[in-house]
Amino acid sequence: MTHPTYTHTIETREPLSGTTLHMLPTTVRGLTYCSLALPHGAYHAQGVSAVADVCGLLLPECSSRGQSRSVLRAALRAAGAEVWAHMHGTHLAVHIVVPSKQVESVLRMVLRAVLTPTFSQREFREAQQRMGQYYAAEMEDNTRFHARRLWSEVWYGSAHPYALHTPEAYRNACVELVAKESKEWYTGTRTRAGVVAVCASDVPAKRVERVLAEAFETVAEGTREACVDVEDTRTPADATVVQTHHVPHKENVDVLIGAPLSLTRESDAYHALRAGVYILGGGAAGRLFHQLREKHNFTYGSYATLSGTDTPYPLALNATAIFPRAVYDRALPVFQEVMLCWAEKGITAHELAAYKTEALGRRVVSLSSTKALVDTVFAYATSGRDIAEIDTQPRIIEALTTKEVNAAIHTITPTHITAAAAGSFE
Amino acid sequence: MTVARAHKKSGSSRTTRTTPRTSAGFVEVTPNNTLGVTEHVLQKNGLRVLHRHIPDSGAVGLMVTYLVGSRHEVAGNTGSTHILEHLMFKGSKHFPAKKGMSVIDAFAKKGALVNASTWLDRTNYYEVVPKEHFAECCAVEADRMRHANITEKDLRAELPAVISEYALHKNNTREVLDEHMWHTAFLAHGYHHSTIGWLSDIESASVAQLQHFYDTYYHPNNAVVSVVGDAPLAEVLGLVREHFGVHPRSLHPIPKPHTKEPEQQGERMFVIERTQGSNMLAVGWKVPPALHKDTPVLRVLADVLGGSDSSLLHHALVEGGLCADVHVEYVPFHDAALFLVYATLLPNVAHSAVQQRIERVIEGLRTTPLAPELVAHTRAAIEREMLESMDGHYQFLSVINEYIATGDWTLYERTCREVAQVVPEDVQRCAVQYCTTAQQTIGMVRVQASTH
Repeated sequence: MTHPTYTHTIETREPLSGTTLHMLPTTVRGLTYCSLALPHGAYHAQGVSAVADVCGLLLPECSSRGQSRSVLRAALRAAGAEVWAHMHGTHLAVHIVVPSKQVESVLRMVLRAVLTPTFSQREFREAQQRMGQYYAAEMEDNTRFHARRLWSEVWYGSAHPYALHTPEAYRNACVELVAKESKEWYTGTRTRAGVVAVCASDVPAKRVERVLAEAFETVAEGTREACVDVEDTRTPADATVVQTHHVPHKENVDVLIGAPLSLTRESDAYHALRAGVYILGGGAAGRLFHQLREKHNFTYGSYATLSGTDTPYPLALNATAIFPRAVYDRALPVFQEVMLCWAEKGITAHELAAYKTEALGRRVVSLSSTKALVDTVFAYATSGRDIAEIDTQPRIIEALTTKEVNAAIHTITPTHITAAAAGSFE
Repeated sequence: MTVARAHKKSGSSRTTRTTPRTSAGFVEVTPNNTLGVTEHVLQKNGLRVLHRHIPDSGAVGLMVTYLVGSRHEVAGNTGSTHILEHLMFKGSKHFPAKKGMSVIDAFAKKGALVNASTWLDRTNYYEVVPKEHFAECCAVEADRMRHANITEKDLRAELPAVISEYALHKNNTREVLDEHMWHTAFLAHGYHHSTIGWLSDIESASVAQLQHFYDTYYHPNNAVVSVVGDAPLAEVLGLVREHFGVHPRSLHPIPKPHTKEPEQQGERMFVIERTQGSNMLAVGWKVPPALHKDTPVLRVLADVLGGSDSSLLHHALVEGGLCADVHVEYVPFHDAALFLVYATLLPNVAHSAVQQRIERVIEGLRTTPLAPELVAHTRAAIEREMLESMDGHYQFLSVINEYIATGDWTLYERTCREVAQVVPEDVQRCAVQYCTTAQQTIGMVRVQASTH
């Protein structure tokens, strides 16, 4: 069977040392997607992420040297551009969708804002209030968030990148932020080394390259801060205790069952582990969906994923399901049993064969739009992986053996499989 | 298997080729459009087929849109459209689930994107598959159009999953607020109840009732098949004729709901009490059906009021220090529907203060025409959105499907064209005509024991 390849259509350039531009053709004439990643130092713990989140919200439509926010916004609107930003691992990710005829001017304006922001008091206070009050209140009312937070508290200390703060701690962290210090953090951690741009456009690459070169010319090249080892992990006395959190007015209980892992995204066994996790709960053909939805009808859906794949830290296995309160007590033991059985006995050759068929078909479907390809290249490039891997995936998948997958699954300690639940328990 | 989130013409008529072309059982009725879409009708049974070719993408997307949604339900059978949608995954005559031939087995296990969704005006079923499986898609979708296995056993087994989905909606306070807005604004019309239905109706659903619903609405002359991707027109028409052509047109006319919403006679208001989360305020006004001439104007009004961080309400409420978030929701539906403003309040801000500020912004629109560049900004945003919808098979299918449900898929492109004709005085007229206290519904989420 032949598999489609994609990377031969990508033109890679280096506008300045340390910066990389991957240029893709667009399938929609006249439309440009552009995703930028600006490095911002080392991984930080979620518990102290308030400053990064506020900066992410403040940008990219903020005032900058010689360009007020209202003028910038009006210019972006007139150009028909949609621009948004968020913190993505160690990067500030900025995404632009714009008619191609406007791409150069929009890119210039956005880069000016994110490279030389002024962080006016008013703009800062607005972003601070929105993160600290609104998002904290949203978290407070969100059962999925509380299940994840409880689970992470079992295994990770507050300094670990996977730790999640309580809404109250997060709100307090936002309230305490000061514009000047936040700007210092933003500008002080930025470096040109590792800037990534992924564009799909019918505008020639050299024109986009020129805009990037002009914008980053004045930014110090610097070096990427090395990723620090995080020792802030915990060993619970009894990991089998189910952690629960009461959230009023909820008719469902969100459950997360997971385990900390020893493998990282760079481990040789990563692809085998990924296959094993997909067989557990990657979709409608997964064991969790089959057992919890189709066999017992406990839930609308149940999924398993690997988290931490965009970091250099050991991964974590997370499986989730949401049960009506009335069936929670019966459903939880079944959910735990499926997880334990998978961790102890592994998967079968038949399941692996089905996974290969599904994964290879899914690849064709999921990469059939320009935007999906941009997102995929962006994910590879920002995590420091070679984008050529996008084309070698089918070979890797086809070569997997049952023995390899089960060996990867068996790196998980079954007694480390922990459950956390959030819903209306009182 | 999802419910689209609770409650989401221009005057010119569509221009069709004057001399319809026929090809092997089809008549072509393609309206003028720049989307690259062709439209054919299968003469034998009235099935409409839309096609857009994306060569070399390696994938094909197929969506069957049935022109039946939750507005066709009445008290006692609310949620039926959605429950039926779930049961449509339990296999059909030639693709029985017990032999491992259900839609999930046929496609999800081959890596396809497979699902279905139900909303106020329509129900859809779709697959995006590697192109070698496209013929199989046509076979499966055609079979379940008239030969679905709807059994008591499957219904009993599936109801807990439906109730789980019901609870999922109720878990989200914002969705509860949205649902109450429609309950309160519409008393008689089918938009009164949400697509998921009332719990007691879901729990008492019967196979006889669902089978009746299926036999009433699931016919080729009440459906549109849309195909997008790496399959040329001749192949698509050939497969549609082979598989869907076996079904006759329905023997009965497809029933149309006849209940009209009585005129609202003044402002309506409700409060939802919560003990945590954020205070919220919603304001809704009745607006005309999608095919009304004011649709492009309302599109501009929605964008100018709350379409971006430079909108009037964002400026007044978020930058004004009252709210953490505000957005406007305007979706053109088949029948008269709601134009909605949702605001999330900052702590210690009174609902009345936010309501007054919204009223002040609306009053400003009524009295002073907008700056022309604001209308131009909306046009630029809509043009970009249309280009975006052309990228990706599911993306395009999902957008065109909503316009099919309004009664005319070409409205999508026309709205874009006609927004360009909107002048500030049109927006002013619509603000005066529709954003009135008499047509207004106010909803509040009030957090009594907030921790902040």
